[in-house]
Amino acid sequence: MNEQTHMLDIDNLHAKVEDKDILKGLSLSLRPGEVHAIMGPNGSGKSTLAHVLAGREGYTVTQGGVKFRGQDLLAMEPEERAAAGVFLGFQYPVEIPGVTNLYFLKAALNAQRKSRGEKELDAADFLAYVKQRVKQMQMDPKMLHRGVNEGFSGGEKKRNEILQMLVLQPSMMILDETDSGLDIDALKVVADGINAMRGPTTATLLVTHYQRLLDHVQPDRVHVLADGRIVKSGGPELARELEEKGYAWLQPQKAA
Amino acid sequence: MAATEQTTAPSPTSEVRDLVTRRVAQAYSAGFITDVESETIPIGLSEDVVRLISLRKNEPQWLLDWRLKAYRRWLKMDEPKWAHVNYEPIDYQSISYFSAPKSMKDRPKSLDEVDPKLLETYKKLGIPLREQEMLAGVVPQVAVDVVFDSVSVGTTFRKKLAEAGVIFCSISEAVHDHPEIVKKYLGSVVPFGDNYFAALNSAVFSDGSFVFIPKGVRCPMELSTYFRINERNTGQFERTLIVAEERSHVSYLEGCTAPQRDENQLHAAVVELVALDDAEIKYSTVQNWYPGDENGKGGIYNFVTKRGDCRGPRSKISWTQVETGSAITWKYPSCILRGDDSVGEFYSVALTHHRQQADTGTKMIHVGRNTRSTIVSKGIAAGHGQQSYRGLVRVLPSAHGARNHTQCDSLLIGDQCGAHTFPYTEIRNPTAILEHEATTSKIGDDQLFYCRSRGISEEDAVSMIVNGFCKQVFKELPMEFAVEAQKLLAVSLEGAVG
Amino acid sequence: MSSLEHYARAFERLPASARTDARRGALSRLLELGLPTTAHEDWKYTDLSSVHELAPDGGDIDGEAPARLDADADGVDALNAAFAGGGLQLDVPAGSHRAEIIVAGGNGHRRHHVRLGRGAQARLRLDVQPHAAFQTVVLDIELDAGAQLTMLRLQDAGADARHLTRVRARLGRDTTLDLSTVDLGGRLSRHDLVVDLAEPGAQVHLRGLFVASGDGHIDNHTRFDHRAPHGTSRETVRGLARDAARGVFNGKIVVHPGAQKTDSEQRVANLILSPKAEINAKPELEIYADDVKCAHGATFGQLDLTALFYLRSRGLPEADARALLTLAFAMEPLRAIPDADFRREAIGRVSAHLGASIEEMS
Repeated sequence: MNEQTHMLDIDNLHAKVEDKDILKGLSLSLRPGEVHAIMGPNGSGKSTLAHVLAGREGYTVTQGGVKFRGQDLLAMEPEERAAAGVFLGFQYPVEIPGVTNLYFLKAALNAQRKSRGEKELDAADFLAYVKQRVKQMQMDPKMLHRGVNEGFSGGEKKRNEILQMLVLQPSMMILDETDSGLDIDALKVVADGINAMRGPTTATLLVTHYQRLLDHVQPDRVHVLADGRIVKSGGPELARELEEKGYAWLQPQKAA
Repeated sequence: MAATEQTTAPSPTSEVRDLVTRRVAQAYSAGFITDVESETIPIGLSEDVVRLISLRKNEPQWLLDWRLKAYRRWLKMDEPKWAHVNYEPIDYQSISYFSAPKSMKDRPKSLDEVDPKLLETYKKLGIPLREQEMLAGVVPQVAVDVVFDSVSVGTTFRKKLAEAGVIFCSISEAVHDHPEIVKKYLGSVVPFGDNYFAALNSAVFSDGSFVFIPKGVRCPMELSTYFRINERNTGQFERTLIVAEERSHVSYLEGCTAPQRDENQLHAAVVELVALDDAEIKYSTVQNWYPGDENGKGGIYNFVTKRGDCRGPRSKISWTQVETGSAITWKYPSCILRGDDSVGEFYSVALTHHRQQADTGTKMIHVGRNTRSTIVSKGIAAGHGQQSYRGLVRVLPSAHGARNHTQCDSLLIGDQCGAHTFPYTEIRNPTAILEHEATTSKIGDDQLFYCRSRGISEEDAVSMIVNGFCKQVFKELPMEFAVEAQKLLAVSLEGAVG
Repeated sequence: MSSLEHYARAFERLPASARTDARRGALSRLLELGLPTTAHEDWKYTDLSSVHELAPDGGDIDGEAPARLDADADGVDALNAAFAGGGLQLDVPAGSHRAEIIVAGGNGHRRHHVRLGRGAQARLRLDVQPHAAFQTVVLDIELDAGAQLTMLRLQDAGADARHLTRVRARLGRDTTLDLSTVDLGGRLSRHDLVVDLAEPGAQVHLRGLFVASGDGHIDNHTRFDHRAPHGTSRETVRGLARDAARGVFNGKIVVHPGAQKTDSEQRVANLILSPKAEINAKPELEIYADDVKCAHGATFGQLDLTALFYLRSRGLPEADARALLTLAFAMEPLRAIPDADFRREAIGRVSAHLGASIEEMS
């Protein structure tokens, strides 16, 4: 495959956390327009992958590499990755007391625009822009004046992640367990948000433990991660198979 | 792709520390010196010096007598040692106790007659002194008294205030023009023997502001005083007195800066507030005295006694302070809640960086029935800064139904600084309800990473998190000063956290 | 200090065998330092002048006491070192578990020493003499790596008794000191607890209750020094003051440079039950490391108003409801005592102590 056509190219990635090897040779490529799902049992390395891609400290890459639109992603600072269009939806979104969501979104969007050499949005335009997306996520506009994730329920935090994604308009989305802790209505809203970002110039990597999000967001490819490697890849039907059979049947294949 | 050994990102904590050390010199923008000829009396302190100051200010005999009593008391007192600060002993004989620009000797009648060099100083500091400019502009009107070393240079908007019955002038003028009020209230909240630095101030105080709001008057604009130390080897001993009569209301602000000098300079101020029945005084401070350099050389010793007396029922005194400057801060703006249903508040942001040390907090003395107090203290320590909150809540047997809520949070940036909490509670009434909460934390790596992964630089993220941490206090400041305070904090943090 | 001349004279009345050089050295330290006064920050609320004339008569000092004095010893340490009789000298060998409750007690001034070897476990009860006119008790504890000491200090002394109790503990790596303290009586009762979390992973848990009654004065001073990483301290203290009594609580947590990952929490709640009673509380934090979790909270005068309403809505008169909730308030730290024997003993004594007063209150 030609690298130029790839949005994200993960090649033989090895990573460790505190001297413990977690990723042991993971390879994966996404083209623009694609949605891939990564599934796998707890401890298989799903969240490590998401954090390494976003540049979280404490994760050491020992082998392999990651290219984003042909650039060396791992050489970039977290904020540079964000400005380049990479977005991580956190499994556990962080609370920042006293900093309002509105201010946070504006600071983030303008920082990204500035680093791309674009003009910063003025306050009125920005507010209208954000409010429309708040409505889209069926959130109470009052949340904009509350602290970032401060006192939010688990479901509100996840919606807020998708709201940030809609506001920041990234091109490469990595959503880490975004479906966990959501009731069925919220799951639908979150899925709609993800689908709204689907297009010929964006790509999405869904990291999930369960099939249910994939009922609403149809993936092009499904990968199974076990013990730090992709052990099986397939179409959407693979997710349903995993839902029925669990992960245990994959173990012999891993051994092989 | 080649296999490479790399860490995805260096630890933010270490980066934060680098930022701390990188941007140092640029942090203090108020450190310039104004080149004016000053008349500075020789260094040293004696009864003769006290007499000289009084003579120089052409004071009545009663005030000289009061000063001398204070001086004699001071001689018998010991410098307090209980604060959590360390400094070389102060040589009180090496300080000059009075310094004034020569041009001020003939007492200019209006700001138009004031030496342009002095006016330039305030322009550089962004202090609006031209009434016309303010009247024309969109900025809110603020009346300003400016104190340069030991004298008040001038006060704006006096005419407009006089129409409302408000007196706003320097304390020196008030001694001459309103002696009966000064005599009645001076030392009635902070007696001259209250503490070591209050006694020293009472003996040698030079200038400061005087505010009197008569019955039923709501002061038509913000009042503010801007203190500037300029001359070398001098101390500043400001004395401020604010009296709010029944049902009156005033919001007052003070700001302070000093040049960047290698030696320490002493600022020992006394501020007294009196609120009669149903009166309200809101007192805000943005303190940015020169903090010394990153090795702790130079800087102001800020030893201040501030106390408000809620003398009448339903009166209210609210202190808000943003303390980013000074090498050493020793300051406990307090409220004596004497009147029934009176209210005391203290909101504080204090930042210590490099070698700065602050021991600051408040005292809430509940005397009257159903008195209420609120304390919100946010301490930030960076570099080798030491930060202490020291507070006292005392509920006397007479204070039936007293309430207090205290929130006291510390934020640590780097592992060489310290944050300390010393809250005293002395409760002698069974109906009192108090809550005290204190937390200590550092800026979370999680929070930093979250901000950075949204595209916000580390420096901006730290600044944003710190401002969020201080928000409860900033919202108590008048709008335009809240913006100023945020900027000041960001600048002070530039050396500190980015 | 001329007022301590009683002690100088009492010393000369000791049996010749007890007047060792070490004791004499301690006496001169005492005369030189004097006893702490209220001018001293740590003694701001507790006045010791009433013990100046309560020197021992000299007859009841038995045996050789360890008279070692640290450089930072104060007058109380010196007094104890000069006059203390021998106390418990316990050395639990590495790896051994002592099942029985070991008691440190005795009359007069006492000095005890307890050492637990590597991985050893023991249970200790520290008693004071309930009718002592004036007693000082010093207990030094050393815990070697992995040792666990569970301790109960229960002071239910008479209305005229005066005690100064000082417990100092040095905690080695991964040790646990679990301490429950209850103060119910005495004219003057002061308890100093100084815990040095000297090595990584040390833990201290303190549950405390004081009930000051009559014209009694109960003062608890605790100081936890976190000197190594990954230390944990937990402190839950409840204070009650009634009649004309006075309670004092001062809890200091010091996190020294390098003691990263310290996790410390201190909760102090107080109830004043009479217009003449008084409580002074000061929970202090001194922190010199950044990667720490430290919180403290102090409250005064808050019975759960919802619970109060609930009880009243079920027909309890307000006074009964308050008394019940007050008892529940006092019992809260005791219910969490992990050792069943200690828990039973503490709850039993406090119930007996407060039970009568609940009837009075209702």
